[in-house]
Amino acid sequence: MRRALVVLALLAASRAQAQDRGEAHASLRIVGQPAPDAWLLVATPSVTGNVAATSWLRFDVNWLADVVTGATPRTYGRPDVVTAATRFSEVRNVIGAGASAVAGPVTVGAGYSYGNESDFRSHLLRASVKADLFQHNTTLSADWGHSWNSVCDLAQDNVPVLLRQPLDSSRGCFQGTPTLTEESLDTDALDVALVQTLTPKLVGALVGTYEHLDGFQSSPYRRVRLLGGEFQAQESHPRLRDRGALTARVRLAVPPVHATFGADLRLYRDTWGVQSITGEATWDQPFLQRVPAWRFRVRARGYVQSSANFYKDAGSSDSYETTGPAGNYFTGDPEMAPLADLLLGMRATYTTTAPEGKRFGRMFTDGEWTMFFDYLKEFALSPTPPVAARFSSWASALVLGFSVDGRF
Amino acid sequence: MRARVLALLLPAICASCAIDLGAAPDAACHPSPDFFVAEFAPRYLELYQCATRRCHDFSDGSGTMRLRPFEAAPAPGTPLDAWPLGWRENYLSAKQLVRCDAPLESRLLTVPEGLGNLHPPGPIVRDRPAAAALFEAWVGAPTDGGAGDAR
Repeated sequence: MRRALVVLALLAASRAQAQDRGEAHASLRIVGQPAPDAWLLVATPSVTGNVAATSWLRFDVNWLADVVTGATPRTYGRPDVVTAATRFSEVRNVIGAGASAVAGPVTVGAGYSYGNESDFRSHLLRASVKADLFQHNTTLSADWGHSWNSVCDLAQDNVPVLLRQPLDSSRGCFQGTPTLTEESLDTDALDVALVQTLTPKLVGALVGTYEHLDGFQSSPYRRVRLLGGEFQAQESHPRLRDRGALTARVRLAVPPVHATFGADLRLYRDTWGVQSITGEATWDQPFLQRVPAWRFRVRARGYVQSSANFYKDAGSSDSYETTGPAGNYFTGDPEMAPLADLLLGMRATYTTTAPEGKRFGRMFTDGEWTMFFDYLKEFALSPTPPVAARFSSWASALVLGFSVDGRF
Repeated sequence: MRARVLALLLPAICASCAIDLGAAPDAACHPSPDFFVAEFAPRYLELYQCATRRCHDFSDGSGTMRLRPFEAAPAPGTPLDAWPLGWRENYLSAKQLVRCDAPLESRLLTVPEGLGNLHPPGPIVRDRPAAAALFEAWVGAPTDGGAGDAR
């Protein structure tokens, strides 16, 4: 959820830079994770918009929702990984608003978002500054966000970590129920980016990202079997986490076919011991050279990560089941396991402009329709990672999306 | 502040920045296995039909506590490792929800009693004093010195 908030905020902030009177965007994204019993489905509709109040001041609003349904195993350990899968359905909503002002080559922005779901509440403040220098050949930007989150959990402050139990459901959360509590999770995120035109055909970007998380970072629902089932306790993650990443991007114009080639490389590391490297290549060009309004983009992304330093694999000789926790910590989170993935995606876009003096729907001067599809296959790099079934499936996730943008 | 500046450079320069895992926690709650077989299971779990479908049945139930069908009971003193799978797993599932330090605050008691309205079917423990006495007796029953030691 927090990541969605940040992405949404940055998206809204970037859209506010447009030179039109205003802009509206609507999209629907559907993610499916194949599973033997029931697919996990996430539908994410979103709407954003911004409008120029004056030549130097713009306002933006945004809304995003996640509708999640499916079944997930909640106990990590051999005997009942699959049979204890629990069906659930949830709805999350995020609404936000912001403003940005332009002074010469500098644009500053700020905004606020509120996220609400049955077991999670979030408040996000964001601020940004961007300088457009040297005739648009250099752009420097910084985005900062701080979020205050509340996570519903059982009230078990003084209970030893091995005896803590998971939530069964979000029933009673945020209603003052005496046996429940609200755990805090505060995050700070800072992105600093430099975008530079390197040659008339080549643009490069360097992005540094830092995030500091302080608070409850376990899943309140997830449970881990330890020491032969002697303990079956709520997942225990460290409360502090610092994450850093460096990303380099290049975009190369290929004039003969009106195409753009892109390459990204991202290095990541955090204080939980997870390190990853991501490489992505994209190719964007018109379907037909004589019809530039119809374009397609294909992309391929490879990702590989190491495990967290408190992760123990259920299939190893020193699993939680046999040797207990790693210090104070134990996890059933698949994202803590060593893994790799391959993503293949394609996108088709149609751009249209209203004839001079006319508008679509009496409002829009031009619009853009986009449809995209991504296929994701994950590969386990340890014998028995959490939710092992998703690694053996023909696909780990399928993503289908539609979006429409209009400028006025 | 210094730590945050360093973390900015994590991907490039920090080869050993990692949290301290700490020492393994010590926790022990081992209510008597023999008492579980002889008294607790029949007078609580079976009495209130906890293991039925749509309640806490292992394959078709709800919640994190899942119970397998009760088979022929193990004889008193049988080591836990030698128990039939269903009994062993049911004992381990049930004891996760027991507070040895405060048996009357055990979630295995308070949730089906209806505290906080967290039990979807509502309160099902009809005889609260008897249930409370049963929990105190289970936690107080001796666990060591026999083959039934949970550890």
